[in-house]
Amino acid sequence: MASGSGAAAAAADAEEKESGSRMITLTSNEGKAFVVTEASARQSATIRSMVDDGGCVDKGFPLPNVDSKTLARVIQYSDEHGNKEPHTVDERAALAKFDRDFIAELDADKAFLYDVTMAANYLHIQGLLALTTQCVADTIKGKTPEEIRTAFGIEYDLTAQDEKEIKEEDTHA
Amino acid sequence: MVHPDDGRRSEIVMDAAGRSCEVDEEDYISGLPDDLLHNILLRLRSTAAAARTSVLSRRWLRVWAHLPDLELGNFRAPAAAVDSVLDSIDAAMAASQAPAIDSLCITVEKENRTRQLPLAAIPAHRVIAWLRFASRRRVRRLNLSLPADDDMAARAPRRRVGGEEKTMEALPIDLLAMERATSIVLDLGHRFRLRLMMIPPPVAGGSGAFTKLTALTIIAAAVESRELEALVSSHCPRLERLSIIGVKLLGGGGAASSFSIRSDSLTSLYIHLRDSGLEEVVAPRLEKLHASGDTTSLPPCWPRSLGKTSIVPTSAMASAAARSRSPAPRVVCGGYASRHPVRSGICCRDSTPSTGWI
Repeated sequence: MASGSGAAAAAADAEEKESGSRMITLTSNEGKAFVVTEASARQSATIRSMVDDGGCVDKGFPLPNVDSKTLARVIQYSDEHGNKEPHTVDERAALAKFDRDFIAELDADKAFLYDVTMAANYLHIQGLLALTTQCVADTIKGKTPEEIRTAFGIEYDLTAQDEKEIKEEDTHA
Repeated sequence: MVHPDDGRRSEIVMDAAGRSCEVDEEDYISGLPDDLLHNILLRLRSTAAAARTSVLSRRWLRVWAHLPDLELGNFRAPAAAVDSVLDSIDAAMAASQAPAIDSLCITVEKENRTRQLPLAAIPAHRVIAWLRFASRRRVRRLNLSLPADDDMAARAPRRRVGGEEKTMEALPIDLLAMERATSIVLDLGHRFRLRLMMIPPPVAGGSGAFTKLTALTIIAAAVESRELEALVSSHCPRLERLSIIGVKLLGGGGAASSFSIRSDSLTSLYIHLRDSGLEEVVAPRLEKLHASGDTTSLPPCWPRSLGKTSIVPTSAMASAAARSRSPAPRVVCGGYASRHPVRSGICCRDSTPSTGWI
């Protein structure tokens, strides 16, 4: 991953024309440009379809729903999965370890986990989305409702009427 | 998602534009769109655990109820008493509000593997209601698995049910049409007679058939052979894989019977019959075939290259055929008659490959 201005993108384009591997510019909602390899960008089905449609590769892709901090983290994932193709057992193990470390960091910061999940959903990065939603599910698993509320900051706002309805459903069961 | 009559929180923005102010700023989950929350709940791998999230907050009251996949029963907790397992299945179905369900998996296991679960332990009317639910909710993949009734499996002729002598054949349940279904697995544990009468589903516009079904497996049930023939040949135009395992075929008046299969779409056929015979298979696209019979001594089967013979009657089938004075089973499939070769097939012990059939 590299970040920079339009000049960097232009340079990257020139390089692409020589080497055959295109570079693509992604712009966060704060206007910050991130230049990534096409292989990395293609981790996102959203960008992949725009690139394949012959869309605005030169102009880059503005991502109005993703902030810089989140985009940087998402690109970290896409670089690891897009630029490398694991062939050996060791390489696959290294990638699995990357995923574990990657999600462990997010797990410790639920606000950031939320943002990355939303970005993975918006960009359709299936592997990343599977990683983050599984992390959320693992947090829910085996916890009482109160523990789940605490873990994610959910405010308890059920009315007495709601509670009564839940109880009635339970007694039917 | 949120009820319109709720003034305090009239709406929740759930688009990808980010958290809305309706959900608490510090809430790092509730603002996710419903399909992501469903994705997360499915990863719990437990419908019960998913249902428990309904008490988290108003936002969560109905999230689980719209889950497109339901996994019900005691597959992962076989210790629960059967009655409470059946109740929990009924309750989950009553609470589910998803208009169309992709995957419905119902598993009832014995609370204790050594204990028997008599016929009466799982009343027919409850299973009928489950299959009705599957039809109404336009299930794509249905998997129903009931524990074996051991006496019935061991072919004890009659069982006592609620003071009355009954047989498996006397307890009918109906497989209703599921026009969206692609795969159906029904293991009835030797408990019920499966009726395949093609009653149209109780929804408007239902075509009343299994037009998308590609895989059908029926295990440990009694089935009228005429109904099975009609189902396969007339109501499942896309059926590719058919497995009929431990099934007792009934002729008129509940007597054991034999049956024929005719299908233009079938590529794989696995048949293991009880007290029943196979008369004829006409399936021009068939590639894989296994046919065997009887349950008391399972014949060891082996793959065999099918030069000219695609199927060999087991002793059980042969004797059933002899009893009914019908000719030996006849198989018409691609192996020798067309460009679609039969790649593998199964013959059974005690029988020498015969070349007498077409």
